[in-house]
Amino acid sequence: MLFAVLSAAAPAYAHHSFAMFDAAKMVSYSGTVKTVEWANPHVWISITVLEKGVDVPYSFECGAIAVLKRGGWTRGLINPGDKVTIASHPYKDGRAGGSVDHIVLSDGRQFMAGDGLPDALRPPGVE
Amino acid sequence: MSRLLIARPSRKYAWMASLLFVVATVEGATSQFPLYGDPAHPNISGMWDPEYAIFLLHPPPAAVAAKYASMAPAGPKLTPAYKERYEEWRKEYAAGKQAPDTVTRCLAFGFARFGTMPVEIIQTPGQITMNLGVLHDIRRIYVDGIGHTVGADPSFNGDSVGHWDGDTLVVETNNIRAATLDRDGVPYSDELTAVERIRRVSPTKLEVQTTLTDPKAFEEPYKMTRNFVAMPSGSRFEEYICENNKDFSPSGK
Repeated sequence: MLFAVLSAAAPAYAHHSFAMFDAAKMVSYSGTVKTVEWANPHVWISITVLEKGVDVPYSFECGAIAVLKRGGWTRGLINPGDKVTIASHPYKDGRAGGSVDHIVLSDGRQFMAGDGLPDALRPPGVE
Repeated sequence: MSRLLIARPSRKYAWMASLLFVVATVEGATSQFPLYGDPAHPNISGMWDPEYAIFLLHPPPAAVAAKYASMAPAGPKLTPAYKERYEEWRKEYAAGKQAPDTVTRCLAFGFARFGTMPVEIIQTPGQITMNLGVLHDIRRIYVDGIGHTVGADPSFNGDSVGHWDGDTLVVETNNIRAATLDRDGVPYSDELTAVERIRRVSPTKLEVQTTLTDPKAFEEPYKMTRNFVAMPSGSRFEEYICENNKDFSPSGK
């Protein structure tokens, strides 16, 4: 069995493109929050997902802080140890994780974590 | 020895302050920043959201594209050298990579992309200051009649001089550093100059029509419209520092 090993080094956060993610696919993962990096230009969340008895690490990218806040997030919304479900567009290259579409907290509340489109300008029918 | 005179508000004018508050509240209906402005001209101050943000989706769904076609025309006709540069960008993007640009390197949005993010406009007599809500771009439009800045180095947002044509602010910008037109990597050169026509068409809408001229990169002048809509009342920016990219290396390491 292969494990995706993520280092905490900066290269994981170096800027990238949306081309890295498969916009046509949406996959959900339920797990436990390991870290939340609350910073610009992207907030990052890492979780571990129990797969066949093993904790597999996943790393997810969200939008910028201001974008998340428009979606109702606050700085302390999720913390290490929380149970969360993350719906995301997966990495095209198979890396464990993706670009977050929305998260669902253990109490059922849902928060969008979009890519930069302010809510006020989101036309109907556009994701 | 010169003396510094400091004017202090006196209590006997307190009634004026309360009148100003009432006026401000009424004026607030037509401007988010009623205490800013220029007595002789329309007040374009406020917190503004870019209508153009819709095109942050690449490509926009057909339904959206049709409705907003006038806002995002096909793009400038690039000269052969710049067309080749752009094709390179597209190839890399299709391969799942993306060449770094001034934004991903946390440098600046620059003149042409300034209208793609929320902006705080502070209009005062003599100067209109625009603070971008993302990264650290500041545009200063001088309406003091003095003209362009002498001896300034080229900058990402250029040097801007404005004058009023009725209720329209006409801004001429030059001395711009090369960068890209939008997230798509369409390049422009250091010979870019621009003329904007900015008009507050309603209390909640700012119309910005821009003509870009770039003899090195564009075959002909390129016109684009990037309007703004008022942000919710009371909106304020937070500081935006690219912390995640502080160790980013352009080589991709």
